[in-house]
Amino acid sequence: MMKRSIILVGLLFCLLIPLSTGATEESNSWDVDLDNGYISTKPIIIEDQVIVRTSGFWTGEDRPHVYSYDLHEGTQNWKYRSNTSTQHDMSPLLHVEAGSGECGNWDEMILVGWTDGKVTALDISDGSLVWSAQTEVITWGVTGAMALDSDVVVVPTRKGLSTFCLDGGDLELRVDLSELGWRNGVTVSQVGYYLGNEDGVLNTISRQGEISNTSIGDGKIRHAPIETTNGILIHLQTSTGSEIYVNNELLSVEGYSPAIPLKVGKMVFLATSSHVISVDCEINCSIEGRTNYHTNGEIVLQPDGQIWFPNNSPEGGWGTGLPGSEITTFHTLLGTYTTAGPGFGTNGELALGNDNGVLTVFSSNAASDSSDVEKSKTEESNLYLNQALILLLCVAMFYFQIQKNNKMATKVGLLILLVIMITILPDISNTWSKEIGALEEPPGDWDDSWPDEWLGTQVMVFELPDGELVVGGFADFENVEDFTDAAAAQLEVTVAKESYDIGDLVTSFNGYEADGWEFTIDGKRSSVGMTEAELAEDSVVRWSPA
Amino acid sequence: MVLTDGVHGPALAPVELLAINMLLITISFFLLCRPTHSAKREILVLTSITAAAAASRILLEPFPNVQPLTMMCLVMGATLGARRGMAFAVIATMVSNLVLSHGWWTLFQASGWAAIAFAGSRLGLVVGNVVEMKRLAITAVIVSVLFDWWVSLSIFTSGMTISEFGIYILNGLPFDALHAVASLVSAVWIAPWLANLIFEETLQIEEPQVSGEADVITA
Repeated sequence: MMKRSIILVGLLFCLLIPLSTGATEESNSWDVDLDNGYISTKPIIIEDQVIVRTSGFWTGEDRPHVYSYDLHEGTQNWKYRSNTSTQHDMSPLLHVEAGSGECGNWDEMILVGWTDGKVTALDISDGSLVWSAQTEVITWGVTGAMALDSDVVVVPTRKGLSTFCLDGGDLELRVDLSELGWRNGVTVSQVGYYLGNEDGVLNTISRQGEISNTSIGDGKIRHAPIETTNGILIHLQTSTGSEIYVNNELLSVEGYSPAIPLKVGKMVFLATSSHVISVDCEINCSIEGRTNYHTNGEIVLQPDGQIWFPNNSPEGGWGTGLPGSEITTFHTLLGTYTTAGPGFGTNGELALGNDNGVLTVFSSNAASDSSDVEKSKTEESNLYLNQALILLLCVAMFYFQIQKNNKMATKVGLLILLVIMITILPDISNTWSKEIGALEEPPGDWDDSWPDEWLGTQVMVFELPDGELVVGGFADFENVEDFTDAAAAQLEVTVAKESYDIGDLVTSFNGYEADGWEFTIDGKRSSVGMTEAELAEDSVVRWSPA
Repeated sequence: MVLTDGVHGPALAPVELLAINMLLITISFFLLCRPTHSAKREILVLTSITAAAAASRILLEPFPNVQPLTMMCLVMGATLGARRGMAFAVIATMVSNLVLSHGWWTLFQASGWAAIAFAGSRLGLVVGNVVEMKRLAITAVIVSVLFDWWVSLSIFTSGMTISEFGIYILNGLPFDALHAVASLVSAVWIAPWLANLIFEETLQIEEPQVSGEADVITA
């Protein structure tokens, strides 16, 4: 009897072996935690420097920075702090080589767009401010990708477009537009500049400031338009997912939260929360490949031709490969949600940043060596140990059957059933809950006293014992947990959470534990946890004591 | 250049927490079981099993709704009777909830498991030290699901409609199934050992305790 008890305890311990063992720190790699921030845009490697920016909703004394680290040693070269940017900075860093043009001469620098509307030019050698220019702020300022056009930088602003001379930052061109933009990068072309916005309108702006526009559809353009030989390609974010348009013709209906597309030669790579997609525009743009993968954010080309897709899931990592074929995931030790693309050095160095604000840099050897060790298919690594355990139990059951010990064989068989059920429960439960959730329409949770500007945006309500706190105007949050963190930071509400296998749970807001906390989305209780609970672009999330 | 633990500070993984919990509870269990030949033996046995039951809930917390306590309540009710079985259920629930979280639901959990212990005492699941396995297995599966539905009533508030509660129950069916299978596994693996342990311990308690003076008289 005692032996069986020991076997049972041993098997229970086997169940508890972590599903992934994680990577060990390579001697020729380094990590650094950029305090209290996300890394939402790709680090850039310039010679012996890795330069990266942090983003977040900043309160108190915390503010976003641009950091420079030694590529090989990981020691900090310099950092630049914005004292006035407090929103999520999503505009990628822009490296500018030294040069000259009609408007003047300039040294090598890093251009940074901020949500306080500023554009700053930083000296690449010490991070000192070379010049600064101001653009308009309507809740946010600059959030999209800037671009270079000869001797000017073209800046997509909140409600228009500005160009500034690289020498001194003098305003060269200003165009006001009627629609708001967010994360709407600008594309420089022979005809001028292409710029989308939150109303699905594609603007074409000549270098003299003449505007023509066309409505692509009912949705939001949140990337720099892609110029192809068949017309402009737009991945429009809609309330029901996304749509790919080429030359204003619908090419394909896709999933939620489109990533920022990437053009490589005649190919365009796109992605959503459900697929990575390639479009071949050699003759007439057509879908060439598609693979299931969850990615949002920046798609990046590795110099050797591989495409990297940030894995925006709790496991994190970066998918590599081509749509239509297998996508493998590259993991770092401290993986978590990721939307920033990787930065590549000329000698094979690799810089990676994630939503925990952890920057990981691999030297060329480490990157290539670790690729053999760490590259793995996420699903396979998770399944491997479970399958091994089930196999072990199956062998045990077979052994007992050979011994004609049917009683023990039955016992082990039941254990196998339990292990399988525990393994598949999260997936089964989520799928089941979504099916059940579809039976019930949300009643809605809009309060007419809230500002009209919040209509169609994401709104957060905290029902605290000392009063209700509300904040709105958010966009693009995909799950309740991320949205809660951002809104709480904005309202200076402290959030305490505990992690479980089924996801994170909130234990207190501002120290109030109550009997637990629960949330509703549009007035409806969620059937899944806050990590899994998906949001629409106009969701109202309400936290209240259980 | 340091390897950090992320922005939220260091945190133990569930497995690490589990290992610590298991170590502490195992030590407590064996400390409570020994010495076995004392006048307070009966209460020590009951306390030990109660502690083990509470520990099982804490240890298995990472696995949602894997609750050996359900089967243990059946066996305790069947072997020690309704009163002790129900007391065991209530104490084990309260003790474990001190760690897991205590609240309104504790009332439903304690009463649910107490009802299961009562059922165990009336269904003839254990005869002597022999478990009627087929009967116990069927009972464990049924009461596991009924228990979950009973505890679900704790979230039923005045603002909740019947249909909302129905959807809540439907949502929980995969968890109910897991509870049922876990109870079945507990029944086949643990119940015979537990029933035998209780039988042997209580049997020895009923045997006459011979003292030195008695030996003299007998001699």
